[in-house]
Amino acid sequence: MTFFNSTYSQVLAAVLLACWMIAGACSKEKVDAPYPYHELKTFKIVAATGDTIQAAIADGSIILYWPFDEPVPATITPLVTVSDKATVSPASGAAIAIKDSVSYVVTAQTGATASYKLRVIVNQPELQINSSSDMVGQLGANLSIGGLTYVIPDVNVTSAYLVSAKGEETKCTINGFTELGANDYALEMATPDVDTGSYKLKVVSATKTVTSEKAFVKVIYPIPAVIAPSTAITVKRGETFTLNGSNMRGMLAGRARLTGGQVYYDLELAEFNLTSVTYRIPADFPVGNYNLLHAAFRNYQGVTVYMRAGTINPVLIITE
Amino acid sequence: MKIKNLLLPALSAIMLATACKKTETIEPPAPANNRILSYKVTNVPDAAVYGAIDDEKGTITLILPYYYFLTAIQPEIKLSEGATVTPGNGVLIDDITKKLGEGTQVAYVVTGKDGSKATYNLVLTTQQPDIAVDELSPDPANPLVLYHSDPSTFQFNFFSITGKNFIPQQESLGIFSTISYLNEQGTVVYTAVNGDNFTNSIGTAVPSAAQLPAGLYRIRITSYTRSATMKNPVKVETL
Repeated sequence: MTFFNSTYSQVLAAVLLACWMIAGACSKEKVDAPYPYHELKTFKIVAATGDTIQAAIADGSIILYWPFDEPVPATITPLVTVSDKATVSPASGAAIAIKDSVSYVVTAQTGATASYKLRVIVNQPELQINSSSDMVGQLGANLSIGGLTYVIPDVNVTSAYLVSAKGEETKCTINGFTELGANDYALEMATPDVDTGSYKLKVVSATKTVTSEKAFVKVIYPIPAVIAPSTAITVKRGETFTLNGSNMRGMLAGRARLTGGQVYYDLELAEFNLTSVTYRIPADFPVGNYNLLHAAFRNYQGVTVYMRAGTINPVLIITE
Repeated sequence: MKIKNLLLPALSAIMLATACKKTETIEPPAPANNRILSYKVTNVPDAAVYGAIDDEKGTITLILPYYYFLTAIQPEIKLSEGATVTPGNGVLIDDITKKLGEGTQVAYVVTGKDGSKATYNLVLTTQQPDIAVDELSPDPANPLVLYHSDPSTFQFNFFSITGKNFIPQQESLGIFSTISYLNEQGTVVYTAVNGDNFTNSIGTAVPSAAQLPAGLYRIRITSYTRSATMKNPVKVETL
């Protein structure tokens, strides 16, 4: 083979050697190693008020503390900075939805990535309801529910619900807030038109929600009222008399006391409807003039409540 | 002979190839070793509160929920490997109420393992809602007149200031709302400490003539970390 004769090889080697020397002289070329850093360094947003809120970044989370008196917007436009030569997605300045599921991925020049999850913490104190005392609302009247702490006294951000034993919720129409003590509020409303009974109270105020421990809101029928007689009622033993009034539910035996006496004598309940109650004078009822006449009803707690029927003296005269 | 003939150019070729690969690789700069990586306040009722760290500005911004009324904080500080910090990890930072009010900053100095130092200022804030005060004198030309109290005769003239988001007193924590009287130059002439207030009203007595000379004053309420000043003055005089 003439191609590979020794002379040719020697020439080729010399040429290559020369090349190597020349190449060797120009081989001081510098190459940057790719950066391995992929840290999310800062995360800031400008709130509607103009305040800048910087999020804390720790353990792969972006923790954004949000002031509760400012509504959390649907989207925010965070400005983020990352390690040198790293890239980030979503990019700095890109609008994102405020959701806990949002993640930022930082990619180093080497291609290594780190993921940071957004966590929004609204700095709002926990609501408290003191349900140790009953709050009673009569149907058709106003109801004031006290014992609320850290509720925001603003109907635009605070709402209330009565929760029945079955868990059904009825939204209340809040008319206002009364500050009973420092930070101790009462909700003012018309008694919601629900069945009578005991209800828990659920309050939503900005980002916080609380439901009372006890069913301390008692919705009751309006309390019975008696129309005072303008003239004395004169009846014989065994006869009946009728007192007019309103909301006469759960009526019970009445009673009367002799003028100057100390003892009450019970009147038998004959009948009642919403607007009247009829009592019968027992056969052994003492004859005489009575200055105290009471109708009675059982209240929502099962307690007998007496209502005075008129202040005239005598109001009831029992004859033979 | 054939192999021998091939050997010489091949060797040269290899030499040439290796020569071309002899490039210099520049390693990325080592990360700073005097950093605070995380700042976590652990003495809080619920989840720990983390500070936002800004290496460039040298700040740790800590948003303390105002309703914790923290008087001291105990941080857990994570540093670059081999670094140390002063004040140290876990060292209590106290007088928080005062620091919040006066905007005092605490400086943390980190020393890296190479001896380099970095300073981080602790910036304390709360997200306490802004407070608002209602004007006592709706018409600036017709200021409300308040008469001096006279402690010598036990005469205290009380009046109420209404508004919203006042922080009720936290006596055990030394948190009280204050009522300051600013003269026409905007200088605080007298500040009364209030012992009792609601979130929407503060009751206070008019200062005595010795405390506050007669004149026109604008009233400023300071409640925890927030302040609000009335636009229109009240007129203070002796009856």
